[in-house]
Amino acid sequence: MNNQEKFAEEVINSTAGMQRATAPADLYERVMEHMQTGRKTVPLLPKVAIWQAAAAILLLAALNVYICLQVKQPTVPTANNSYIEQEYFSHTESI
Amino acid sequence: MRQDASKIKYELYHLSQDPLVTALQRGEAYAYKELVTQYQDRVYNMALSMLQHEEDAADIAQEVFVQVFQSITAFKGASKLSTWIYRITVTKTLEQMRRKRTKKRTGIVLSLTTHEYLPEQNNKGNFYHPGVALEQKELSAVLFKAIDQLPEKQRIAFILNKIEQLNYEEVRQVMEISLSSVESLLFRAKQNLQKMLESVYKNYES
Repeated sequence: MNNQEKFAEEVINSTAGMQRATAPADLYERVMEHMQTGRKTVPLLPKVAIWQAAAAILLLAALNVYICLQVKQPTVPTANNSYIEQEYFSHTESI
Repeated sequence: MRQDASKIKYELYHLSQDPLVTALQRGEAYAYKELVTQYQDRVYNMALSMLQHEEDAADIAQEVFVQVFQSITAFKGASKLSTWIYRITVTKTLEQMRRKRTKKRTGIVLSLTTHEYLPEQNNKGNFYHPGVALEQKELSAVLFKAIDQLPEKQRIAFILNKIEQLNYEEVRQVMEISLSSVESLLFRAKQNLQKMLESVYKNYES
């Protein structure tokens, strides 16, 4: 047997002792959903990821609400007519 | 009297059958889960070996079980349940492969007219089967590439026999061909693989 034949044989025998691939853990749920809806169900994201994303969104929203509540009203007095009059016309009173 | 006879006939038919099949035909809920648990890895592994794509294989497994549940009442027990499920898996997988080929052809036409075709659909990368031992991964990737080049029937026979470990008689039943045809298909598959792999070796050397 030359090297080429030896290589081919080795490759063909590489399946020896091979295990079966494991089906997705949620296959039964997907099949049942498919049966009920009549549509193939393709999970876009694993459930854990969906819960993590929901928790992150909730946390962000809560943080935003908290920050909004903490922000104080501006302390600079808003200008009104009497303030402007006082500032701009006080030195002209003597004239 | 006639009613009694048909009742006995019905009972005898169910007694001679696999209890799981009987439970499925009676629509018992636990049987659905039991069937999926028992056969999911076989179905998924078969589809995965043929399609060499995990998501597609999961989709096919889903379709196979839906088909099994929908047509279990038509299952008369002429063959083993596993054989029947394998047959459905092979049929569904071939349908998927044909769909993909049509899509590819449409893609080529699209690329000529609108330049919308994605070039990576043409080149299948290396496929690493998750059940292969680490030290055999590279060799088995070479093997799967070669398997992918085999004619359809040879590929099915080879996967059923070498990967799914079915004996010749079981392969014969799944493929609904004669025993001599199974032998011939497997012989030619091995010959073709050897030729392909020898040329791979030549390329490696050069």
